[in-house]
Amino acid sequence: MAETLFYLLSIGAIACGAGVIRARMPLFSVLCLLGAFFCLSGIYLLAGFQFLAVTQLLVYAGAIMVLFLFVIMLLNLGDENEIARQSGIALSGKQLAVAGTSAGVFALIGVLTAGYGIAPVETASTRASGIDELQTLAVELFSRYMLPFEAASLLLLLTMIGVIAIAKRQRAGEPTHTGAGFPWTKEPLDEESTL
Amino acid sequence: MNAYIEQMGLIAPELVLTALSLFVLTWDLLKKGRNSDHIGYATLVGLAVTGWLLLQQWGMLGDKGTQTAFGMVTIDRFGTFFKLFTVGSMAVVTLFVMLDKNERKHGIGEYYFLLIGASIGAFFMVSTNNLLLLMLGLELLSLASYSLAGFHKGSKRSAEAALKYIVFGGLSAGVMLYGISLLYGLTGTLDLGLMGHAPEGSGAVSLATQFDASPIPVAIAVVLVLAGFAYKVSVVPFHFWTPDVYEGAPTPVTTFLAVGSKAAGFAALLRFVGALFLTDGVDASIVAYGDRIGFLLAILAAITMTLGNLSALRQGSLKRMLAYSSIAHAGYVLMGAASMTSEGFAAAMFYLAAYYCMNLGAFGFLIYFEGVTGKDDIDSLKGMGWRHPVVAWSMVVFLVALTGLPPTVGFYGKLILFYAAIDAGLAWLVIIAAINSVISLFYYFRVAKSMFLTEPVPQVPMRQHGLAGILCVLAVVTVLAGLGAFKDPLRGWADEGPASLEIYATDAGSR
Amino acid sequence: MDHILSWITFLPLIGMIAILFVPKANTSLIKTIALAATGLPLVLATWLYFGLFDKMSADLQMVDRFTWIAGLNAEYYVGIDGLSIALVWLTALLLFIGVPASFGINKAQKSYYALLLLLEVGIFGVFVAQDYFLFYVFWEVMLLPMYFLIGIWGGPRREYAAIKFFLYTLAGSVLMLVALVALRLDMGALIDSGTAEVVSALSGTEDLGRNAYFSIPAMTALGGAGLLTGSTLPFGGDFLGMQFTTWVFWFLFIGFAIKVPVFPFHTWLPDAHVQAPTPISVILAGILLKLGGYGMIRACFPIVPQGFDDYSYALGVLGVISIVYGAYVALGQTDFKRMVAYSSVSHMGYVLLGMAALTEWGMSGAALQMFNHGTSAAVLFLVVGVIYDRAHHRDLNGFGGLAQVMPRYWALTTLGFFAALGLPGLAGFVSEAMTLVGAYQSPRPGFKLLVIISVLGIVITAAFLLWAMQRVFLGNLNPKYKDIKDINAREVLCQAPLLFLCIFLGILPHYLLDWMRPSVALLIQNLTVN
Repeated sequence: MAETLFYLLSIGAIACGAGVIRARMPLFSVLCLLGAFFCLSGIYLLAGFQFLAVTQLLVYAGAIMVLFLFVIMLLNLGDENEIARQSGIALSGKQLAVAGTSAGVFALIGVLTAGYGIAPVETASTRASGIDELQTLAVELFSRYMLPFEAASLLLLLTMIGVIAIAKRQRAGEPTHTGAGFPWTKEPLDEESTL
Repeated sequence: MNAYIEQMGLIAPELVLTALSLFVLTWDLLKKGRNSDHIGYATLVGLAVTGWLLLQQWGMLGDKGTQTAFGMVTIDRFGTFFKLFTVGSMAVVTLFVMLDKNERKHGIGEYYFLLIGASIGAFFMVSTNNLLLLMLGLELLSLASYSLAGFHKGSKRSAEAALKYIVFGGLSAGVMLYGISLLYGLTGTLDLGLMGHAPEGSGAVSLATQFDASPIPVAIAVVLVLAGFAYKVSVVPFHFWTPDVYEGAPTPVTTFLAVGSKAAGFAALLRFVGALFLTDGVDASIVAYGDRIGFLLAILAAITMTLGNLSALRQGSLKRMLAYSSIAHAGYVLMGAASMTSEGFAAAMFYLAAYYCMNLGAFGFLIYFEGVTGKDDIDSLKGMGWRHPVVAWSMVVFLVALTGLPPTVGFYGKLILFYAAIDAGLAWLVIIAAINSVISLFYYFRVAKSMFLTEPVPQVPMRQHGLAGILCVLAVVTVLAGLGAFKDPLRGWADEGPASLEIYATDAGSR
Repeated sequence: MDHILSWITFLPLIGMIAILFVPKANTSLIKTIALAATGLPLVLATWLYFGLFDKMSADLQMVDRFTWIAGLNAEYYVGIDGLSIALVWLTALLLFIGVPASFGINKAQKSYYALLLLLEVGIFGVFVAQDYFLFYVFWEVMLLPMYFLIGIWGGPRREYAAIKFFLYTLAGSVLMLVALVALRLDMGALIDSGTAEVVSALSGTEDLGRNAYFSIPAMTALGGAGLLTGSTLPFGGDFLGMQFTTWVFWFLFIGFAIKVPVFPFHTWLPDAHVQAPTPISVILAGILLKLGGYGMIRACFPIVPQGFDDYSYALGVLGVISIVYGAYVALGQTDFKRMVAYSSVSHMGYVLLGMAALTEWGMSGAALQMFNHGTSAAVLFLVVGVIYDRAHHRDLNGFGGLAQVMPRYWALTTLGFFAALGLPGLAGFVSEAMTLVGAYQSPRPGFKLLVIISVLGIVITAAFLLWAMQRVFLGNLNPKYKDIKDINAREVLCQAPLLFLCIFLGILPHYLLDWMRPSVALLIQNLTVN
C-alpha cells in the first residue's frame, strides 16, 4: 500500500514538475508547482517525517505560492512568448536540452565505469533517527548545524540584495551599458607613447 | 554554547568577511548616492585583515587539518591555500571594479557586497568536508555570481548572461543535489571523511562497502556530484554557459568568475575526489574505482582543452576568446585531478596559482582596453602596442604565460602538471596537452599581432595609470615566479595542501 | 676570469635593460649601447677561444653551477666544450655584425635593439646550458624576440611569416618538452634508486652524488650506459608498442629538426627568411639554424644513443633529401632571398648526413659545416640586403649587368657565392668534403649510396648560384639601374670579417678542428652502442 502510494506521489510530482515547464501561462505553472509541493509533502509523510511535511505545506504551498500568485496577478503576466518579447531575451532551449542530456549521458558513463551487475541497494539508516521530533530538530539545528543555518541566512540576505540590485530602477544620468559610445572616451588626445 | 564560541577562533577569517559584508551594506545605505570608492577601500582593508588572519592560520596549522564548528568546517592547509587564493583574487577584482572606466562611480555598494558574499561562499566551499555546507557555499557563490553577472541592467547582454547563468546554474545545482542525496542515502552521512572511511560505531556506512555490494548507485551518485563541479569549473560538456556569461557580465565580474569561482570549484572537486578515493584507509575496491574516475576525468580533460582551444580560435572578441581560453585551462587543471595522486593535486593547485597571475593580468588588460576604446574585439587592438607600450608588453607576458612558454609561471605550472600526469601513466594526455598549447599559441598571438604587427588605427590614447601599474606588477610576478623566485611560498604551499588532505600517493606502477 | 660564460650570456641582457631606460628619440645612444652590449661578449668570446679554453680537453670547461629551482632539481649549469665554443664565438660575431647592419632600420629602433639583445641572450644560453631545463628555457626565450623581429620589421607578409615561424618552432619544442618531462622522471627514479650500475655510469662525471635530474652530462652518461630506457615509468619502457628510447629520440629529433630545418619540416624557413629584415635573416641563417644541429649532438643523440643507432640511416636519408631537394627548389626560385633560403636547407643537409655517418670525419665535418654555413649564408643574406636596399625588389630576372656599375659589390658577391658552392680553397669546400668523405667511410651499410646521390646536390648548388650570378651581374645592363650606387663602407665592413673567415678557414681549417677534436672523439664514443 505504502509503496503504491509512493509511486503514485512520485509520478504526480514528476508530472507536476513537467507541467511547470510546459505550461504557457505563468498562472498554470504556479499551480503545477503547488501540485508538486503537495506530492512531495505526501512523500515526506510516507517516510514518517510529519513535521517536514507540514512545514512544506505551510511555508511553500501556503506562503510562498500565494506570494507568487499575487505577483503574477498584480503584474498581469500573460503568455511566456509575450514576456520574452518584452524583455528581448530568449534563452536557447537547445543549449539547455544539450546540457541536460549531457548530465544524463554523464550518469550513464558513471554506470559504465562501475562496470558490473546490479544488486538491491541497502541504504544506510539515517544517523539522526529522531529527526522528526521537533525538539531534536531544534537542538540539532542550533548546535551541530548552526553554521549551515547561519550560512543559509546569509544566503537569503545575499539573494535579496542581489535581486534588489538587479531590479531597482536606474537613476537618470547613469550610463546604460549598451556596449558602445562611452562618454568618457571623448577626452582630448594625449601625446604618443614613449616607446 | 561555550563549546561553539571556543571554536570560533578558527573561522575568524569567515567571520571577518561576513562582518565586512554587513558593514559594506550598511555603509552604502548611509552614504547612498555618493562616491562608492570609499566602500572599495573598506573592502580592500577588510580583505587585507582576512588575508593576514589566514596567513597566521597557515603558520599555526600543522600537516594535519583540524575540524571546528561540530565537524562542519575543516581547517587545513589545502583549504587555507584556496582561501588565500580567493582573498587574493577578490582584492585584485575589487581594484578592477574601482578602476573600471565603464563602471559607475556612484551607488554601486551592492557590487562590493555581492563580491564579498561570493567570497564567503567560496570560503565555505573550500574548507568543508560536509556536503551540506559545501552545497550552501556553492549556492552562496552562485547566487552572488548570478546577480553580479546581471549587474549592468541597461545592457541586454548582461541581462541575458544573468538569465543563462541562473538557468544553467540551477540545473547543475539540481543534478549535484540529486547526487548528494543519493550519497546520503547510501552512506547515512554527509561527511566526506566518513564516506571515504567509516569507523565502527560512527553510524555511517563507507562508500566502499556500498560499492562492493552494488556499484551502480554509487557510481551514479559520484558521477552526478562530479557533473555539478564540472558545471562550476566549466568542463566540456558542461561549459555552454561560459562564453555567453563571461561575455555578458561586467568584466571585473568575469574576472572573478574565471579566477576565484573556478578555483573554488576545483578546490571542492579535488577535496571530494581526494576524500572518497585517495584517503588512507579507503578500501582497495574503491581505489580501483577511483582510478576509473581518474580515467574519466582524463578523457574530460582532453576533450575540454581541445574543444576550448579550437573554439577560441574562431573568436573575434577578446572577452569571448578569454572565456574559451579559461575553458581550455580548466582542462589543463583537470589533468592534475585526473592523475589521482597527491603530486597531481599539488600540480593542479600550483597551476591554479599560475593561472591566477596570468588570467588576472589578461582580464586586467581587457578592462584597460575597454576603458580606452569601449570595444572588446581583437581588431580594435590595432596599434595598442605603440600607444600603450607598458600595458601591451605586460599583456604579451600574460599571453606567453597562458601559452605556457618559459620563462613564465605558466610554463612552470604546465611542466609540473606534465610530470604528475606522466608519473600517473597519462602520457597520452600529456601529448594532447602539448599539442593544445601549440593551438593556443595561434589565438593568443593574434592579440600580440594586433597590438604590434599591424599599423595603428587612430584611437584615443587615454591613460589609466592605476590599472597599468597593477598589470605591470602582475607581469613582473608572472616572470619572476617562472624563474623560480617564489618557489618557496608557491610550490611549498601547493605541495603541503594535498598533504593536509591526508592523501597518499597511489602506487603508479600498479596501474 | 670567473663566470665568463655567464657574463657573455647576460651582458646583452644588461644592455637590453639599459636600452629600456633610454628615451626613444635618442637613437644614437641606443645604437651605442647595442654595439657595446654585443661587442663586449665578442671580446670575451675571443679571449675565451684563444686564451682560456683548453683545446686538448674534452671536458666541460668554464663551468658555473648552482641549484636553481630546488623543487624541480633544476640547476643553473653552464659550460662549454669543443662542440659549442666555436658556435658561441660565431654568435658573438654575427650579433655584433647584426647591429651595424641594422642601422638602416628607422622604425621603432628602441624596441628593435632591445629585442635583438634579448635574442642574443637566448642564443648564448642555448649554446652554454648544460642543464636541460635551462636549455629549454633559453630555447623558448629565443622565440618571442624572433617573432616580433620578423613580425614588426619584416616585409609585406610578415604577420604570416612570423606566426608560421613561431608555430612550427613551438610545435617542435612542445614535443621536446614531453620527452624532457619523461626523461626527467626516469632520471629522478634512476638516480634515487642509486644502484651500482647508475653509480658506475655516473662515476666519471661531476654529477655523482648530486641530484641533478636535468643535467645533460648526467643524461648522457646514463643514456650512454643504456640505463635511460624509461623502465621506471608507469608504462615501463614500452609506450604504445614502441620503445621509450624511440619515442624520446623522435620527439627530441623532430624538435631540433624543425629548427635545422630538415626536409619535411623546412617550409617555415623560406617564408621567415624572405619576410625578415636583412640583419635578422643573417642571424636566422647564421646561427638559429645551427641551434638545431647543435641541439642534436648535445641534447638528443647522446641521450638516446640506442634511438640514434636504430635510425641513423633514416637520418642520413633525410639529410640527403634536404641536400638535393633544397638545391633543386633553389634552382627554380626567382626571388633572390628565397633562393638563398633554400640553399640553406641544402647546406644544412650536409650537417645531418655527416652526423648520421658516425665517423670522426663526418662528425667533424658536420660541426665545421655548421660554422662555415654560418659565415657564408650570412654573407649571402647581407649581399641580398645590399641590392634590396637599392632596388627595392629581389627579382633575379629584374637585374642584369650590375657588374658594370657595382664592381666592388660584384667582387664581394662572387667571393660569397664561391664560398657557398664549395670552391676548393674556401671554407665550404673543406667542410662539405669532410662530411662526404666521412659518410663514405661509414661502416654502416648504404651510406655510400647516399654520398653518391648527395653529390648531385653540389652540382645543382653550383648551377643555381652561377645562374643567379649570370642573371644579376652579367649580360646587358638594365638601364633602370645605371645610376645605382656601389656598396658602401658600412656594408663592406659588415661582410669583410665573414669573407675573411671563409678564406681563412678554407686554408687553415685546423683553427676550428683542433678545438673540437677531443669533444668529437668523445661524442663518437658516446654514440657508439656496444
